[in-house]
Amino acid sequence: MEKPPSSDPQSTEQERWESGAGREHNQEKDKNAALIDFLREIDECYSFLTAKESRAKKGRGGKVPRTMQTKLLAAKYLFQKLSGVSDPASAIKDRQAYTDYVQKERAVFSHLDRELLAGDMEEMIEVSHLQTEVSEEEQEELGAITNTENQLHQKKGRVEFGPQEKKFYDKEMTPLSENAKAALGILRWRGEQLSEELEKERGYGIFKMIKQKCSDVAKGAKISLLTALGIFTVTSSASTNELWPEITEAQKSTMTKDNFTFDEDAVVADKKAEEVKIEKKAEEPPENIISKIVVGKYSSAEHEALGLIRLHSKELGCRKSQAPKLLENYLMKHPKKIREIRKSITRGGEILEISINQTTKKFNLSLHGGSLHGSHLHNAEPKHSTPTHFSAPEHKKPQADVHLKTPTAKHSKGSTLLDMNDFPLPDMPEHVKGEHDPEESLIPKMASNKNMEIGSGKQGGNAGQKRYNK
Amino acid sequence: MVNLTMTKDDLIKAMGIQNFDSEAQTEFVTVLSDNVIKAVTLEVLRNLKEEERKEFETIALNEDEQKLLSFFKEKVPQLDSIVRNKTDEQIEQVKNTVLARA
Repeated sequence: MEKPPSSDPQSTEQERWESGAGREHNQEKDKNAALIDFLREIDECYSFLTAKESRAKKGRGGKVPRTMQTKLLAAKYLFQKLSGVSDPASAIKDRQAYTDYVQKERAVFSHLDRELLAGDMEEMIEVSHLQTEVSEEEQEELGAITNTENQLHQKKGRVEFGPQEKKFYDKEMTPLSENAKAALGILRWRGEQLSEELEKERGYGIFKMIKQKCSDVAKGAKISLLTALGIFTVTSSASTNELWPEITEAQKSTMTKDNFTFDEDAVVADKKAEEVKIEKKAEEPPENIISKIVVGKYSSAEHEALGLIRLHSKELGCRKSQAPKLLENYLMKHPKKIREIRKSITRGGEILEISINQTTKKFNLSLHGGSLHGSHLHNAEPKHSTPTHFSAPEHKKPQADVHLKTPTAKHSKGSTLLDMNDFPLPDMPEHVKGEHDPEESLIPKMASNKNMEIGSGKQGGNAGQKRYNK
Repeated sequence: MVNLTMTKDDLIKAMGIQNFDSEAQTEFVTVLSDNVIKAVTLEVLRNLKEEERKEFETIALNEDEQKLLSFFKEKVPQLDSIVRNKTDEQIEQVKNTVLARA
């Protein structure tokens, strides 16, 4: 007689087991547990190897494991540890199981790139057939890391991370939550991995080139991600927002080519100087216009320096007293401008170098190796005073038409570079005439005054320096 | 899926870090942006042949944007999706960790 179905849950489980379903379920659980262990080992192995490589790079380790040695070591270790797994290759390929596990333990494994894992581990398994031995010392080191990780994994209620992540986790940002710190640590960690991969691919130089554009995002500029790759120029709105962050929309609307003027005081030129007429060539691309300046009695390098300062002072819409600091800040944010200017400065046998050391925050203009200006930036963040002098009183307006090329103007297409034709340069000041050979640069005479602060008002008795300080 | 044009605020929202202080937000955006660029550059390089890599390097280092644009159109037509995918990856990583045990 057939046994009636039982309502007892225990006997139901028993029946399921006997029928094979339960056994299958448990086998599945065992398989998952083995897979989890397996993946954890991979994680530990990666952490170990990366930490070892990192130490070796910094000269604190023993031998430097090269790529192949690293993979051999990893493969050997994995095979030793995975002896209980019947088919490790298929386990590695079990992407769904891996994905499920990662979702459950994302904080632990999020720094592992899935593709890297799948691709590299297969390669590791291949090369492992070479049967290289793992030294006792390496096993001990790995064991110590494994224990530390296991302890971390056992802590409840906290995001867990490996030793490599911990290094980045501990870096500053103390006010953040544990999870946020872990997230930042993971991001930084991933960034290091990518840097190493880029170095291997010989692409780090390209990254550095585009990094500056990318950093504009962090400063709040609206740029296309493609811009960061150097494909497009910064969008018009980005340039405007970044350059005039505190200017109202109404003010911006007045900044057109036709009506934008500014206080004469904003011009970084000697009041005694006469305006030099500049040939206008409207169709010239901006970078060429700089080299088309009609040079007066100043040396070409001086003109370039003056032009640069005036160019950016006007571009920033700032007053004379604000110009040097804003120029510094502007060039700090737009090193490409320095390069653009530099391209056109190799005239007349003089080479004016304009550079900013991002580390020391030192702004430098130099000619023939001598320093023209040196200024430590006390505050790298620009203090954008709202420029309130966009329109000058009639009697103060410069003789020449001076207007700012807004991003909507011709050939700007997002570029913030201005048309130098719009900015007349001063002629040789009266007090300089007769003291200097017109062909001789004033700049070398200023070179001895290396520590003069731009905009500080300190002049060190050098008349020529005044122009730059004004 | 991210847009190809994102502001800092967009990225902050996408990562779910609106409640962080501004210094931390900036740090996140900076590191994330760096990573995206690295990842995209890497992916582009891996999609190029040796001679194309040299060409890419020359154009990129000369900052000739027009040439670079033409180059990408011809050699890496899937660039948009690479950028989107890499950005998504980075954002997801942050989002999931930040929210992991919140």
